[in-house]
Amino acid sequence: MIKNTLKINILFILISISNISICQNQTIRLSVRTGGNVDFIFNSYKKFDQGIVYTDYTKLAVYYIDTNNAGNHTALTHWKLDFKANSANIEGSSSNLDLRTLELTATDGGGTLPATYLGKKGLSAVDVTLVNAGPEGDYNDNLINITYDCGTNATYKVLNKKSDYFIVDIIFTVISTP
Amino acid sequence: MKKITLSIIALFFAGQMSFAQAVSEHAIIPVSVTLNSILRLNVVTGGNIEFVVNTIAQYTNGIANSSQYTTNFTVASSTDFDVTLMAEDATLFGSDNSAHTMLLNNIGYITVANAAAGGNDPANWALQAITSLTNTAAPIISGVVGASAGDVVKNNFDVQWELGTNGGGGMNAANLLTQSIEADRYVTNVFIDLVAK
Repeated sequence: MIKNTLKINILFILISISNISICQNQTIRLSVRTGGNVDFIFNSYKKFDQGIVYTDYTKLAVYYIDTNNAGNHTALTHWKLDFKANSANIEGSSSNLDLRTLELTATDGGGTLPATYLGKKGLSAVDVTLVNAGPEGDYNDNLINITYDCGTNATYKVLNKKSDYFIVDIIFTVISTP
Repeated sequence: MKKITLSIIALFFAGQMSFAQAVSEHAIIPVSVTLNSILRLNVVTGGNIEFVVNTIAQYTNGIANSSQYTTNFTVASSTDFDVTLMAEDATLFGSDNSAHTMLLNNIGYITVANAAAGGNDPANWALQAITSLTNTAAPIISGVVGASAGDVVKNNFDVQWELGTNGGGGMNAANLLTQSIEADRYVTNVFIDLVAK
């Protein structure tokens, strides 16, 4: 009986140790510092023909910490920033615009730590990565500027589109990665 | 002992499989796009056309088009468009005596692309050939779908007017002389309408 109890205790201790020694403590937060609402207004022929660009219009900040249970930074993981639309089109009351009418570019917003910025990307209904290999750091370390292009892509101009008011929500997701 | 060993190994791998999940957070930014339709027609020159008939030759043969009888206008449009033209009245009325009238079909016109236009017929629009003036809207420019929207450089047009020439297109076959029209200053307004397709 004592032998069986001993066996069970050993098993219990091992279960606890194996789980504790591998778990990580990750905290990730995404903050919209400025430019949380974007409006494009096309009211001249030039804008219809050439599109509109809002450079560094939105500033995002990422807080990411990854430690083990002893409180030591593992430096083994990073974060990436994705974006996507929450609908299949940019929706108007009587017609829609293709999502690819909007393009986003992420650039270094002045944070102290480097990440990898992947250039201009068209909006889609599935996640597209704008930034990856982002390191651990607080909000001041990981600052990201977002530039918006609307109708500048020659394939997706707004010229010859019916006048209307179109809307879409862009979902930014910051996620930890190995 | 064997059982304990197997259990330990199994638990070790189970412990490995309980590795921490990726963490994530979202932020949503609403984006709006307002398209205000651009539809502008600008008469550049020839906004007042005056034919003066003061010779028998002009009564007989009419007055052919020249630069002083040409209206130049431009169109800026963010969508494909058409343009129509019509007289305001059923006839031209005398300014000195409103009882005097002259038939509209004594006046004819043809629409052409201005020499400086960036667009052309038929790639961008279909332009009306010689036709007589009427008081019903007549299409003078029919935009090609997908190809007519554009700025004033592309969409630059001339309306070339003529009087009493029987130039075809429904113009009066009788010349001004045989119509014995009372001397007067005959006027009407002409509307040029720009319409989005």
